[in-house]
Amino acid sequence: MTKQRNSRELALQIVYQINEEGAYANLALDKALFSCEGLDGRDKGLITEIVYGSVKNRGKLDYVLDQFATTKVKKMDGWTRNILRTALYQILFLDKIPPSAAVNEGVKLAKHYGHVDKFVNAVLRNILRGMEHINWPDKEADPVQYLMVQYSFPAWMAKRFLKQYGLEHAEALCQWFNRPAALWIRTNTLKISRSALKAELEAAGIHVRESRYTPEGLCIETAVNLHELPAFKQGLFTVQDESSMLVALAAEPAQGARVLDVCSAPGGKTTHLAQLMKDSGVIYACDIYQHRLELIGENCKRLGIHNVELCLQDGTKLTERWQEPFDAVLCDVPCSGLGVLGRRADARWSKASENIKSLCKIQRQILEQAAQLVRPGGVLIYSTCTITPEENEQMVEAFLAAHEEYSLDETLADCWLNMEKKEGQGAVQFLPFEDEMDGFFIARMVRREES
Amino acid sequence: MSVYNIVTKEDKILRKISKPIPEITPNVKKMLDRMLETMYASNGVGLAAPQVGILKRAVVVDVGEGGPGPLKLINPEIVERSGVQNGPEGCLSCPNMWGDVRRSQYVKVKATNPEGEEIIVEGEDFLARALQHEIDHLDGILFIDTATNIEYQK
Repeated sequence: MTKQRNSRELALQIVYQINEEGAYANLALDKALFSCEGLDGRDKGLITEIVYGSVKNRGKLDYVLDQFATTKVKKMDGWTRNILRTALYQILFLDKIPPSAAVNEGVKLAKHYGHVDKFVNAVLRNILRGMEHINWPDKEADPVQYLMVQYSFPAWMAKRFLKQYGLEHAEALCQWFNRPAALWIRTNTLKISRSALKAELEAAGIHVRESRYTPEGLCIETAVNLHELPAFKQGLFTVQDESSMLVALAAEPAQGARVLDVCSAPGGKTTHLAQLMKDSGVIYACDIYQHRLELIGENCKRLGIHNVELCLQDGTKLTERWQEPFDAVLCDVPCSGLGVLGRRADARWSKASENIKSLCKIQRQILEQAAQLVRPGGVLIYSTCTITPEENEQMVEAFLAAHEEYSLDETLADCWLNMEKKEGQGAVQFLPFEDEMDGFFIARMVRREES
Repeated sequence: MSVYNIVTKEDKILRKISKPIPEITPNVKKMLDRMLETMYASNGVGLAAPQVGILKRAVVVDVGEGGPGPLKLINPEIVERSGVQNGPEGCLSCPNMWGDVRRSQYVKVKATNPEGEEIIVEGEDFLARALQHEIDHLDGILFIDTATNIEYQK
């Protein structure tokens, strides 16, 4: 007989890698699930749930543990604290697992990983007994602590959300990030229409819903491994969030145009531009990492796209390579990513507020370079997947103040479907609690014709 | 010591009834050692003689942490059982297959050890499961005969 597969032990090892060694949640999980033989669908489901749940809800879990353990979570040994986190996650969040089973499994692991079974047993049983009396932070009296604990966000994010949006909207934002993210695909209109793709997916038993704002988007409402569908292998669609689809649409590239995509990997927006241009003209797709460029190449091949030129190029040094202007330049700049914190379980813990300043510097450098490469009458698109004013509105304002040859294009909302509420704005901040999509910023600037 | 080859479920030998071992010869002891070696090398927790092509009533079991250590059982038989457990199992002769099997929660096994002494092994949970799984092999039974929710992995 073969060994028993212990889902919880595998989950613990992955959580340890993420929390203690800084591994990326999705990569660590994929690697472990792929390399471990003999896991069935249910095991994989449970492991994924425990790993993502324990990492994402770390703030709340640690808060509770600190109330019941004699040693603070910070002072515990790495294995001990993660055994407690995974067990407590199952107790607080997973109805299908009896609390006693979660405790027993946690104690078993504790015996194995450092002989701390007595301690783990005591803490978890204390929590089971005292669950009704957990002292939760008061929403009105201490809103920062309330968001940090109830929704598990680091203090600096909680403070920022509160300052920017007030308690009600900050809470809605946190709720959005904690909700399972919707799965979107973009029809490859070079090969198939959205309605035909929708019919094909529905025939395969997959529920899909059409995007309201884009002509290509479909929301996948059935749990399915998209990469294994024949339609994926045939290049009939690509996986891309609805909000990201708005960016290439904002560029409105004409057929035969000459376009520069400054920070293009992994190529979602690049290939979208190619679709909009009917695979004509040319798109120079830049990135500073070769392996990321190769991803774009693979995507183009699968989607049947030929008008993309891959360029290993630093976005802050564009004019060293090009002098001749483009019809459109797209700057989807590196950013703090605070608009898409729901997409990765560990994202909120791996970011630091200090980084925003240096990101702003790079963003401005890229914009300055790009600005020199737009022909008169051409468009400059600036986009981020964040919600900080420094990287968004303030960035664009400062840029425009220094470049009178550019002005915001107030017809931007016409590039999208059903976006009347954004009419008259040349720079749009999308917010989850207003727009039911991830936090995104898009500005469309036009270079004046020479008189 | 060299390890045996493990036969897979297509091999008809796995469907035959194994013969009792009348006498513990040096060869029988050697076979048990090699079976244990084979089991460890394949990352298993139990192995029955027919799985290495030998139709004799002998099994080895080692469930690791929390268990009684390596067991070498000659002519084992279940003399008592109680309770029910249902859970996942896999078999070294059925690579990449998994399924849920209903088993007794507790079993008492009578067997002879390599020293020729009669011993009693009692097991609950996973040890009970492993003992039942291996003793089934001696009667030509595979876990896939009764398993539900069978899954194949590439």
